[in-house]
Amino acid sequence: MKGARIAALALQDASHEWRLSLCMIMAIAAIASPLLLFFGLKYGTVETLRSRLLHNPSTLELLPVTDKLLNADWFARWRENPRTAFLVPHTRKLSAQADIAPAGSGAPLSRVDIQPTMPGDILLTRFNAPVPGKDECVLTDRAAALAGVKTGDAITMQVTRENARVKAAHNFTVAGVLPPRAGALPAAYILLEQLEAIEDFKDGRAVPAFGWPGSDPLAYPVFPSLLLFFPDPDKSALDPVREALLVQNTGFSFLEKLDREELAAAGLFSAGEGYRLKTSGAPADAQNIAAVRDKLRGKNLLILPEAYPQLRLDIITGPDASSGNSRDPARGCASISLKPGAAYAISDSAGNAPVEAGLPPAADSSAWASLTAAPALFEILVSETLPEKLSPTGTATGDAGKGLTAEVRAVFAGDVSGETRAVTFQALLRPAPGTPEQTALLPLALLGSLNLLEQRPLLYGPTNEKPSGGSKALLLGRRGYSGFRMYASNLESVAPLAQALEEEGIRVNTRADRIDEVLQLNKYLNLLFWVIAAASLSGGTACLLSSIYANVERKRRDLAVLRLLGVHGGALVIFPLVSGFILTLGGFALGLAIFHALSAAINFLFSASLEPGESFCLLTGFHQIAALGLAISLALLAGLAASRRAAIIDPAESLRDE
Amino acid sequence: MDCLRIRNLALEREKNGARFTLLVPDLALRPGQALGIVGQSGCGKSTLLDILALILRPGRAEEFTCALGGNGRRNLFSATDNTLASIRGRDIGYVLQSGGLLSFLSVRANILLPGKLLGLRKKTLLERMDFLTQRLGITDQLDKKPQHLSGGQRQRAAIARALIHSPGLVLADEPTAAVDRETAADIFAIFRDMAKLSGVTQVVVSHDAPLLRRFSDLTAGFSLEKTGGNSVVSTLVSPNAGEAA
Repeated sequence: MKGARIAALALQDASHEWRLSLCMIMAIAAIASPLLLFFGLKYGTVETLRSRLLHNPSTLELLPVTDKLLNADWFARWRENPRTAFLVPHTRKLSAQADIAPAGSGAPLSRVDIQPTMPGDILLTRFNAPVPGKDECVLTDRAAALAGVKTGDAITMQVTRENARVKAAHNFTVAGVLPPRAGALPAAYILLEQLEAIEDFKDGRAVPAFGWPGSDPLAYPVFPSLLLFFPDPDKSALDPVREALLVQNTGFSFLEKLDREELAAAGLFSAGEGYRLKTSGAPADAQNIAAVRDKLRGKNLLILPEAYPQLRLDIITGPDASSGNSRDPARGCASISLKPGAAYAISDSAGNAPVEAGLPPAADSSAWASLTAAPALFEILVSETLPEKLSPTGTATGDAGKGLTAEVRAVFAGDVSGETRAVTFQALLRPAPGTPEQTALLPLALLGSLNLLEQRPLLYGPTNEKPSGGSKALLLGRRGYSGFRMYASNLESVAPLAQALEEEGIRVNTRADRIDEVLQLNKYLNLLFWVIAAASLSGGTACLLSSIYANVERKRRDLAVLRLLGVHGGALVIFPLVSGFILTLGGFALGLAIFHALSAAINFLFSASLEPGESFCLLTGFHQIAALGLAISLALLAGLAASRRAAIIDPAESLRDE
Repeated sequence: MDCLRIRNLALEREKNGARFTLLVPDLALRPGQALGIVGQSGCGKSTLLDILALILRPGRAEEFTCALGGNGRRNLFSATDNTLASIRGRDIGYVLQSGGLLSFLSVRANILLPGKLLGLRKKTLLERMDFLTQRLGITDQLDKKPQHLSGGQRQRAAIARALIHSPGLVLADEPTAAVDRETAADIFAIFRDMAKLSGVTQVVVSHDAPLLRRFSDLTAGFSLEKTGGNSVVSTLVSPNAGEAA
């Protein structure tokens, strides 16, 4: 009660001596406002820079500076990394360029970079641009300005190849235009598959979706090894010179001598001795095999190509009707895995087949001549019992003896990388006498093409080129991507991601240096601020202390009267405390008002450089409350020091002034 | 029963190399009695008043007690500071030379302040203030600040403040030092009337011995004795009956 009364008296005193109080308030404001302004400038500037860095996806971007072929598994693995916010594959940079102009305008073309995108692209969403759909694009500000188009307009995108001798164009709708901050270069963002189509065109391939002409990327046969054997059991070896010639400029590196037993293990039971010719690294293609054949001319040595041991064929049919069960419940299908072999018929000069398999005789030369052909329907020789196992679910073509069509999946299970590639195609399964139970004998072209799975994905799809246009064939799938556009989930993830990528041999460019610069700037400004703040606060504290102390001295007589009226020293200290509190509160409020006026002026002056929501001079509510708390703490501290004087005032001495 | 009793009280002070000793051999005041203290400058009038106001502690005292406010006799010599402050606020009124009013409060707030500090009921306080200010003739000065009053008005306001909480003892230190003789007589008369009306014991210090004798029941003086180069002993001489008695 008495304390409240003393506090009220302090208030009345401050109000009564309002001129003096105002002077004190202005003195405190003179200290507080520059401090607030300086901190506001420091915080606003650093926070604006930091916010721009944080919210500009380019800060979080990791761009590869080295080309490395990255496959789908790599992308799937890195997308699962929690530090990765967005990852989109990129084609070769040289293929990602096009010329754009407003559709149908005949205006000059402008060269732009084509960037791939896909749903979740944080660069586009950050700048409120939609992720483009099919036949849509998002342009950078520069690209839109060059082409003279805006959102909603249609543009023609022209691509060329063969030194611009072959041109093709496709129309896109501009789904959005990015602001200048999103990138200074002219660029168009389109769906990844559409950029892949542009790359295909530049690689000489046809792009049916755009109606662009070109060749089909047909799969071609390759073999990791060849079996060379003498159909004549009496013959066993070539002369050493010939043996050496087989590994010179043939694409093959190793020649291994095989005896009869080893050849029998490879399925050649009736042959004489022979060799296994193996490659190292890339498998041999038709040209390599032609070179081998050339070097064996006149030697009566037959050639049987081999498949990769990791290659298998799954013959897939519909549900197993005979048992009423399914061996593959997920698909409701039955499947049988077979080891692929070459359906290469060899006949000796007497027309007898030396191969135990008893395959239909065919001329050596004609078999190799058809190596590059792409048959409309692959014919696969299987054991005589296999169609019966599959017939309840297979589709018979004519009489059962001619076989049945089935879905065949060729699977290459990588033993080193663990990567599995597969392609599914339609084939005619034809029973052939002598074909081993667990073996499927494939045409050379098919077996060689499936060997490609070791290197790259294969597709089974329609062709475009005449005369086989429209029919299905094994086509080369995309092996991977040479680059990517990756964004880290936050600033702190940029460096770890970059390090992890570099550990995989992928060097990347990041904005880590810029991030570091801002953090350094913040550190130095903090240091500067605290030096100035320390000086100002000591001055302010001294000013406050001396003012409140002087006030106590000035009020000594009044305080003595209060003691005379029964107020004890403990209650009397409230008087200077409240005085200091009131004056500090007033000074701080005035300082804050000055700060707000000046910060508004500063932000207005720099408004051209600021985006909505940004401020060069800014204090948050928390900062203002914290500053007020600090000021009041100092005032109370100064008040406490002064109140010691008030508590020991001797009324007898003070009243004698009367 | 004496409301204030002092026996063999002594206070020694030293200032600027000069030693001053105040001795009060015997002093007893009954309720409603008015004691006037006269004496030359430096004889210890104000010092005695400060001791009585409990803002100076004597060095020694065989007896220094009071029986004010119906709380029985209390030993003032051994009381704590807080107890003394409490007795001072509740049972003692003080009128200073120029009033001792707080400049930042109105006359009304000044008068009410002791009562408010004691937490007395507002209604009681206002009624008491109306009574006092009417009798003192300062009703129309209540809203003014003290610095806008004349010396006499200030002293009247100070008297009202000293009496607002109905203390048992009122001390006045040269209450008429700053006013002319006519006003001084007027103030003394009002002070005396108001104190008598309230039954309050008064101790008034003044240079003006004739005026003091007119309005006091008892008067007392000091006998000064130089005991060394710079040492003075001042002894309160036992009070005599004043003219008012």
